[in-house]
Amino acid sequence: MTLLDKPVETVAKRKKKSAIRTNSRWGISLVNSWLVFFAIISVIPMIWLILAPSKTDPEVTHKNPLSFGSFSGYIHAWKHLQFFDNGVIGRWVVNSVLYTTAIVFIATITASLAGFVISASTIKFKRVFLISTLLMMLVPPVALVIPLFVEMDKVGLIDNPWSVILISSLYPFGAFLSYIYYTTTIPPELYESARLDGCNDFKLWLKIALPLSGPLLSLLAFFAFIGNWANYFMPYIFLPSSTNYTLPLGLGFLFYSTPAINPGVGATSVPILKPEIALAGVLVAVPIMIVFLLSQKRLVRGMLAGSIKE
Amino acid sequence: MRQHLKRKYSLLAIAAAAVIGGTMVSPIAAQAAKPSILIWVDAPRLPGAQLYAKIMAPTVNVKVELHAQGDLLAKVQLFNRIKKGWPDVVFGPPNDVAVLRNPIINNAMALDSLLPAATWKAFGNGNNWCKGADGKTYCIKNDLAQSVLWYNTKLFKEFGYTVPTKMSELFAIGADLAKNHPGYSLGALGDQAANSSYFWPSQCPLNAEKSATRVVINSKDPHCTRVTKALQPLIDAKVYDPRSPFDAGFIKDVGQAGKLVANIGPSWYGDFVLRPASSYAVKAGEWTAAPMPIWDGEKVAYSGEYGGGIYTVSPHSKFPKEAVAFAMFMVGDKRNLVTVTNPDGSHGAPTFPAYGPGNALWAAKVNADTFWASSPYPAMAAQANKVFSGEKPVRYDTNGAWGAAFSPALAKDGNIQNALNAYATYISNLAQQLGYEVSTK
Amino acid sequence: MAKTKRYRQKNTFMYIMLAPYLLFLFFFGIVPLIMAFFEIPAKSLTNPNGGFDAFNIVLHDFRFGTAAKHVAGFMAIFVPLMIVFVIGMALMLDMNTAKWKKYLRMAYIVPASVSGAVAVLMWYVILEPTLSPFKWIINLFGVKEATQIWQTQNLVYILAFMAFFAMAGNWILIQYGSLQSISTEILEAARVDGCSAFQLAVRIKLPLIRKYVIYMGVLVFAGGLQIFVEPQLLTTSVYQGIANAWSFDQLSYTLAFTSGDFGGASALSIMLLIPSLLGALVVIYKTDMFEDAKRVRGQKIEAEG
Repeated sequence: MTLLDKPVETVAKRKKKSAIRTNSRWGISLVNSWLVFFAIISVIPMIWLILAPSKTDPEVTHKNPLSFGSFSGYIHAWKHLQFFDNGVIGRWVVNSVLYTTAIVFIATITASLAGFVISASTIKFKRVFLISTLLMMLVPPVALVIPLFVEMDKVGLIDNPWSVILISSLYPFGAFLSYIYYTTTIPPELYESARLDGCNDFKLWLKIALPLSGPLLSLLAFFAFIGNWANYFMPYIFLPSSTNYTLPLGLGFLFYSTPAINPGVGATSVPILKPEIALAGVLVAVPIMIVFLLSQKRLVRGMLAGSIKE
Repeated sequence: MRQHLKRKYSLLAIAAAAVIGGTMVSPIAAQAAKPSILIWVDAPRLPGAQLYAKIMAPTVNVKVELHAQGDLLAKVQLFNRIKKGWPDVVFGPPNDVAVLRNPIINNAMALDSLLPAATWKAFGNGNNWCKGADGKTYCIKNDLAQSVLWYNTKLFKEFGYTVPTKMSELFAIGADLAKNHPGYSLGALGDQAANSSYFWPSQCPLNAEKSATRVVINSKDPHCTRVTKALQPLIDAKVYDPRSPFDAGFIKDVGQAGKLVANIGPSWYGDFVLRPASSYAVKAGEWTAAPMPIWDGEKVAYSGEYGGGIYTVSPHSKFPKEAVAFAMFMVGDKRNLVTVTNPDGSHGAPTFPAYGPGNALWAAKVNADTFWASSPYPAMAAQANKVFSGEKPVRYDTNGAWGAAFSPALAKDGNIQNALNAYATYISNLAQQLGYEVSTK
Repeated sequence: MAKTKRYRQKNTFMYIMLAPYLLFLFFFGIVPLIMAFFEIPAKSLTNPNGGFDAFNIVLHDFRFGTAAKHVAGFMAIFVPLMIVFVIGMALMLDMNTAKWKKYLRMAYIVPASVSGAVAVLMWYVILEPTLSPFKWIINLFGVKEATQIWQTQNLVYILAFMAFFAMAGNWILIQYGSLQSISTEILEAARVDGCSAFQLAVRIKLPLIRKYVIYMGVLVFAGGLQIFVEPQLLTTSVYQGIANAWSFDQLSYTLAFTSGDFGGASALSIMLLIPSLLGALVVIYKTDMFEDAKRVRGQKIEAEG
């Protein structure tokens, strides 16, 4: 444990120094400018999205795409998004947060435990287990709609948020990633010596795997979040009542009847146009950025530095 | 195996119950006295439906849910599978009636006995779409999207045109535009526009269902070729645009540039395509609508339709009368048609009500609108009973096929007959897949 | 013997830790998958008599052949592009660690944070020459009008590009994370031996993260085969119908959701599963995916020596 207390800063600094020592500055700056270039290309559409609600709908198509309209534009767009009166949109936000938090929590814990067990234990059917986990990632989701719907009906969970939470908590991608992480990070000698010292399997996880799991858990949690926060399909199938909607689902219904997205619908008195959709897009994307920053704190080498020395 | 699965179900039930514990919602005790119905609408119909729920609260429990049009069939299939959950009444796109009537799906009941004969009569031809080959009525039409001739009165005066009453006169205007006023346009033909404005009114048999198992699709019928022959030179002369009327480029180059002289389009085209600032943004006081021009040698100046929603009632509904009452509120009650407040601040129903007495109420709203050079309502009313009824609801997705087959082919080389043939081939395949026998006569 | 017994006892803890995931896997994975197979013979509009003829009906669907052609073309571009680009980016990010690079990684996942209807709007704007913030790039290709872009033969490239942008950022993050699990000692040792940054990346880092690379390869392959979101976004947006039933998964979705034929959708999905699974198994068994860390590390140490 003490080895892990080594300050992250020093390790990073030391590493940076040595990197510069062994590489030409020219090569580094070439690599860095390419990395920055690709980052700019990646964020330009989001900048457009952030600026769009400041403009009126005609301005979005007339003005320079990266120009700014006025602050009142955001207020207008926000008012228009409140399509349902009595603040049900707030309820959707709360629902989204609750469901996603539950899924991230359950999925991250179950998947990381599973990955640990498969990598560290001598239990039977490890390959069967891994292959069926892989299988689940490869199945096109459309095939599972009816079976899952029938299952949820049998237990009376249609229109109950637990249907979405439970189904989405199966996290094969995370389980497999955890398995790879543990097999590449922790050498089996470590477990063996711990076992000889009298550790039981639970302590093996607590004392060896868990302290080394920081980067893994942050990756798992982040991908569970990004995958479920904006999920439209599952809530759409299982949660018909508007009080149970998530934010993407509630907004999705409005979007599919606006000519801004779907001109075939033509006539509508729903004031959802490009600025409103852009604002909704920003609202959905911002939490992803926040969660990213929170989870990425731990994703630095040095967390692991020296842990495998012995 | 089935038993095996069943065992798994009960295992699942126990496991899930254990996990979820007390959070399961307890079923609400059935109330015998007060009927309750579940309504599914899209967002534009929501204010009316919510108002109805409020009005009926003392006598009927009305629950309103939003749904995405187009996915109804899938949801019904899911409900069929668990044998519950069907909404009592659903607002949906016009083709839904054919899909839902199919015995395998079985989610649209015959409504004839649920309303008095006088009410059915008041629809005029407005509800013809809902009549099956067996003569029974399977839906209630919410609004008509009948085509009319929208035109720019100012440009007509400037160029010295009179309002065409024959299609040949409209095409003559097109030829004159090409010669004397290049850059001016009679509209775009991509997507459904070519169909609802030209092929359908010309009686071109594209989705002419003759029975539940037979459909006529013939893109080479004279009723189709007279359209393509007339349009081709004008497409070549750039008077008709092969893009979609909603294409951003077309909106910018033609619509907003004030280059549009006239445009055959549905009754909702004025308020939702010509007028909005984000769309063509035509100027106030310049535009209005005229009845459809007639094809030479015909007796009736038919319209086609671009949209026009319907209400269907589920045969599983315990309260079909209450379900139909909701549909009638939406198409015939002043509180929905004229007074209800929409989220954009406007009032009343957005589109032309299919029910005669309903559209008479709605007329006042259009007539009071000073945006138009003169009220477009008379033209809409003139066409309301003239939607050509040879084109029928069918079980396959005809609208998607316009985008999938017709528009790309038209954009490719601008040959409209080839594009129409491509469309016919595509829907013939779809139709056969869904159990139709396809013929050309 | 005594040792084995003790291990077996300890495995009860292991089973307890595995149990929650196993329950989810069983009830929301394995059971529905088996049920999906038994949904295939259900009666539907396209299969009015029911039965396993559903497979045959799907194979003879008039859109099946074109979907196969589209998906093959798409994968030929998308899969190599993803793998080479993502690994390259992750290695470059790892060449030196600076605090500000956290924000670069965040920038890369921005395109993936936009989904559904908002993504429709975003891509519509990006690819519409009159509105696009990337107008200069589009004009570079000599494109002035949207109709020049929206030709059926261009869709393979456009969709590969869209899918790449939606997924690259996430995988860069994962591969960067995998590089972070390499201990600094190994890297220091290599540097002391005089490895250049490039040699370090290719000779040392890449072999150490190869399990992650294989994992990614399998999922990118399966993801490419099941391309759905991007063409579906296009076809439901302003260019309606342009990519109708363009890919296998869309055909499956169309069968289920517009023809109401869940049986056919299941049949197609299960057929799609076979190549993915076979590919995955071959790759995994041909490599050391199932080997434990000891063996991997042993090889690595040999390589270093």
